[in-house]
Amino acid sequence: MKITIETPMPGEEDEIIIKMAELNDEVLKLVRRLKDGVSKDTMALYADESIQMVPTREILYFDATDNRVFAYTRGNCYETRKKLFEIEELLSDSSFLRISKNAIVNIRAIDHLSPEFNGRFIASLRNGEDIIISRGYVPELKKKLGIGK
Amino acid sequence: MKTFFTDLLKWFVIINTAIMLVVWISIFRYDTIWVEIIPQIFCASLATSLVTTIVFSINPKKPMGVPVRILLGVGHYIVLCAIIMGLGSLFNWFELSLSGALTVAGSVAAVYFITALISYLLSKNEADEMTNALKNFNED
Repeated sequence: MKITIETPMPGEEDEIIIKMAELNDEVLKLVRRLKDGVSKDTMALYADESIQMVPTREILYFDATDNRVFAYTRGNCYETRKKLFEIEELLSDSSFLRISKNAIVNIRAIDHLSPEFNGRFIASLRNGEDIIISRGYVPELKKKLGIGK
Repeated sequence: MKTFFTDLLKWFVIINTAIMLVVWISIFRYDTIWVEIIPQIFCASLATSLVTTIVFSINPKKPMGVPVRILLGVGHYIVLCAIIMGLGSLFNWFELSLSGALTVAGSVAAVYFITALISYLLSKNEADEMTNALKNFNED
């Protein structure tokens, strides 16, 4: 595939043109990421009335509450307009992992794990917060950590 | 629903083992053991494991605080005592007296402790294994 990058003329708007006979899944995913302002490296998040591009490595976890999805960093809480399943899909090949019906965690933000009753675990994050890992998501976590079947 | 029945089976096996252990220790006092006690133990195990499965199926969004955990544990223990006292009086396991009730409370506490310890140790090993794997993951 040929990739051409041109510098726009002064005053001209930035533009991405994709010329393909047939759009495959990878390119569609890429288009969606570009449109949504989401990539492996940064994510467009809302704080008060402003939109900020936040590096994804700074996000500790995403939490869905009352049909709203929030992203937590060490010092801030942002809102995202994306659904949790969309974030899960977008960050599927990164260090983020779904750990319950309402949360996605950055594995690199977990300091240690401890047992909660009935097969659940508590993930203690590096910022001191604790979040629950539901039992149904433990096999996937183990797999990601290289100890699962 | 499948998870519920898997949990029920798991708790049944653990609780039944613990009750058997307590009964095994208790029967040293007697010269004979009655055959009916086996299905009676199964019945008690089923009733208590059902309650335990329901209690542990509570799925909070955030980890529970220590006071809430203690309250839940005490409530669970009281319900288990009530079940065993009810079934115990039905099966003539003990005399309906203060000393009989105290024996039941002590036996339930022993089963509760053994069960909680087994469950905790199993989960602790798993948590430690994942924490170690996490350290390796972060080093990569």
